[in-house]
Amino acid sequence: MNYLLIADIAKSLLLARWRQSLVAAIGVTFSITMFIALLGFMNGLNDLLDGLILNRTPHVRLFNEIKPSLEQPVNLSDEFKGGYNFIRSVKSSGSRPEIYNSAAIMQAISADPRVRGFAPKITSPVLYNAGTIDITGTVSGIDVVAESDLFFFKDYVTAGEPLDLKNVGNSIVLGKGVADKLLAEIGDVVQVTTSKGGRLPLKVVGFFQSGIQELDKVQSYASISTAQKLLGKPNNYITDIQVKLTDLQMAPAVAREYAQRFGADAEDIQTANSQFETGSFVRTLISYVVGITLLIVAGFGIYNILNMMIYEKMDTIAILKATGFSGGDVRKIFLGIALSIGLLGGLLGLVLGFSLSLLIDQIPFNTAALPTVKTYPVNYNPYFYVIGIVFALLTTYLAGYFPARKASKIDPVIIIRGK
Amino acid sequence: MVGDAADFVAELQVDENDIVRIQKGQRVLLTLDSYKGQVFEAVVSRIDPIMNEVSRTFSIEAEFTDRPPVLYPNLTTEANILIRVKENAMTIPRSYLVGDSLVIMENKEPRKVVTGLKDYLKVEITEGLNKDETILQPNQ
Repeated sequence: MNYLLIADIAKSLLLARWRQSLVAAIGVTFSITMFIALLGFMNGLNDLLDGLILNRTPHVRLFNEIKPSLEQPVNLSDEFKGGYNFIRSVKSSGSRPEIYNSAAIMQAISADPRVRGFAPKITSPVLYNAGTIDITGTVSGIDVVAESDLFFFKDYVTAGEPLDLKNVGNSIVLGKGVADKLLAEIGDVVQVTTSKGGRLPLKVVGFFQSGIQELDKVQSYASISTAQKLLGKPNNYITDIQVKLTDLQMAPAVAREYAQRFGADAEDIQTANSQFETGSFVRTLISYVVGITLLIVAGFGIYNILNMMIYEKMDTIAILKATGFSGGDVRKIFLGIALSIGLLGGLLGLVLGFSLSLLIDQIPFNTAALPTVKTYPVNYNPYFYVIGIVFALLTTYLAGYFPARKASKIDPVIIIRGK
Repeated sequence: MVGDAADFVAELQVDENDIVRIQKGQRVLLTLDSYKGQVFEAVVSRIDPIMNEVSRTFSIEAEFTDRPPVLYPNLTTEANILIRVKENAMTIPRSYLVGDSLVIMENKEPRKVVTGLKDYLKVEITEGLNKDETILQPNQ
């Protein structure tokens, strides 16, 4: 059959009642706009919340935990292995916080194809000396470049230049809370004492704000070599190796393998932060449900309007059939009307949804907890746009299908005789 | 570990809670960080009577009876001191003990027993229970 002719008839029917068609299209447009904006916003927020923790958490962390040794000497000895040994007091061993043979381990990790990168780290409890007052805290020795690369360290340095940690000898980036207590400005020198009594004057080159206030009150950063100097340790002294993988899902398997291979404790991100995945999954689910509900409501609007149109155009349909159009052709005409409403409304909805997302992206959103975030976060994943247009076409097709089927079944003889 | 070049003793720290049980001549089983997975033997040779007030521990010395081939001063060691060895002792899982000294017999009657050594997993029963008798796990 001639599709051009059918399209032409559909177009004239659509335009003959252009106000109704417009209302139907606006319904679709509105729901698609909201669907896109809602999903973009929800996912942007999700990414932000996940990023708060996930960006800064290594996928696999290698360290030495202080814990009682599992294999007590008496259980290892041949003579007493068989019996049950009551050990009155087991003390934790593991007096060495540093990772044994760290240089070789780091070499092995960097050769692993599953690893995107790693950053060595030294953590050390310290006292910041301000006059006669001592403030307890922690200094982490980090590799600034690797840390910025993998864990976005730069984003959390709110004042000063993070790279100065590497370039200026004996420098420190103070947590904002620590700096407020010490009344320290950039360029000042603060005294830091370790638990072993080592004391070092360090130059403040920046402030650090993590978004977790309790952390900012104790945490400061120095370069690895400065931390080693502070502790009086040689340059192979590393307490943590933080590994980022190419695929986060592999973390538990890799952690188990590393713990076994390197003889250290390994913790994976899923164990450390298991609640996060559940949270983001539920939030995504809610936004999808709301978006799809909007589309279904719009679908009912289209259904009503097409139904009305068919009642009004009974005569037209009768004449079409009388002049030789088959039931299938009439159905195609009405489906064509429904789909063009869906397509036009949907495309317009995509454009408006994108504009609305851009608008949301401009709204200021300032919070002390997130120094790097200035506006509301929005995710522009093209996947949402594809889902949006597919759903628009699907709901309008379903909404048009039943009225179209009814129209195709009209008997022209009854209509014409009835007039 | 301290000593002259050929003869080493192991210096061990014992918690004040446990010190009264330590006597000279008791056997000591040692693992050394430098010898992973191997067990060596020594006997308690000296108990220093002055407690270290900072760590709340007593220093004791042990002489090796089964000496590792190479030793250096200040190596790290972890030791278990054998206080008593008992053959054919009866132990039950700790969760089968009700309160301090009751077990539930097969006929659901509680019975008083005398317990010996205890840790978080098992309890030694010294009196009041026969090895042919069955006890039940108490309901939580």
